[in-house]
Amino acid sequence: MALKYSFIERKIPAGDLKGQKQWFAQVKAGDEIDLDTLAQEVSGQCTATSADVKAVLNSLVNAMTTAMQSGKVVQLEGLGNFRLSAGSEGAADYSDFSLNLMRPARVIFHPTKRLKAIFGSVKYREEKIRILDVNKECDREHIE
Amino acid sequence: MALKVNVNKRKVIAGENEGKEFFYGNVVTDGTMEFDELCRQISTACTITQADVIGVLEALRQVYRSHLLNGDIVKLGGVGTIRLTASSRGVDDKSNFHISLMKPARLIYRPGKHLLQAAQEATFRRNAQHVVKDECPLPHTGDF
Repeated sequence: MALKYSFIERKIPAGDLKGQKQWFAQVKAGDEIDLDTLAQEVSGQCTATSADVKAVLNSLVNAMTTAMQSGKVVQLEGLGNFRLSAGSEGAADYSDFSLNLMRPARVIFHPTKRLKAIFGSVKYREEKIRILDVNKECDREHIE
Repeated sequence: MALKVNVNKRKVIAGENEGKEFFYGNVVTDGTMEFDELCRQISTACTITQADVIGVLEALRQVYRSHLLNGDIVKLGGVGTIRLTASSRGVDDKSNFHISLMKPARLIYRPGKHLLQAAQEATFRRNAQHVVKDECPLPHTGDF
């Protein structure tokens, strides 16, 4: 269980070393775990069937949306807090302000401390990628 | 069922109206929906009992935890997708790289279709109790 990373060479955009090139490790995304896989694995860990798990997740979203649309913060234990937020365009005068000036709402997520704690147990492993250097001169004979 | 909006006076920090004071609306939260309440609502919406819902969500937590630590992208149905990412401090040469140069991992959350739709469909209402900051409602000497 480890995060895969690969190396990239990047120019430093600012600071003392601006313009210099340095190597950075960058974590690569792994597989995508879709709802079916997730439901199956979860059902293997508890008494519920994978259909039950899907039903729970489905109802979860419905319950979350209703609560969030009425301005509530939804606490999903082990994951974090979800809420909706929005700002508005400015009105020069208080009486000019109307709800039409509101911008579309966004979903805000804050991970819980417990989830943040797992970041401490992250392990890394290098993903070996063979990079073909196309600019390198080839020393083999070519067919004219 | 609408998001509560407070209107506040703020100085514009950039643009053509810089320095002027405008009125802006901001969404404020309206209480929290705690985990127990969430589980109760889920169980009323499907055939699964509240205790089983807690079991499913607990098992779910263990499953996505191990997938996250494996670098996988986890799709939590309509809630959204979560994944871990991290990058490192730079080194002059790849051979100088050490795993201790990795910065702490971060959790990336992208809201799913359902939550994004809920955000778009959210409506707003003015908070009747809210008094605009710096705007004292009482009459002052010198006002007239």
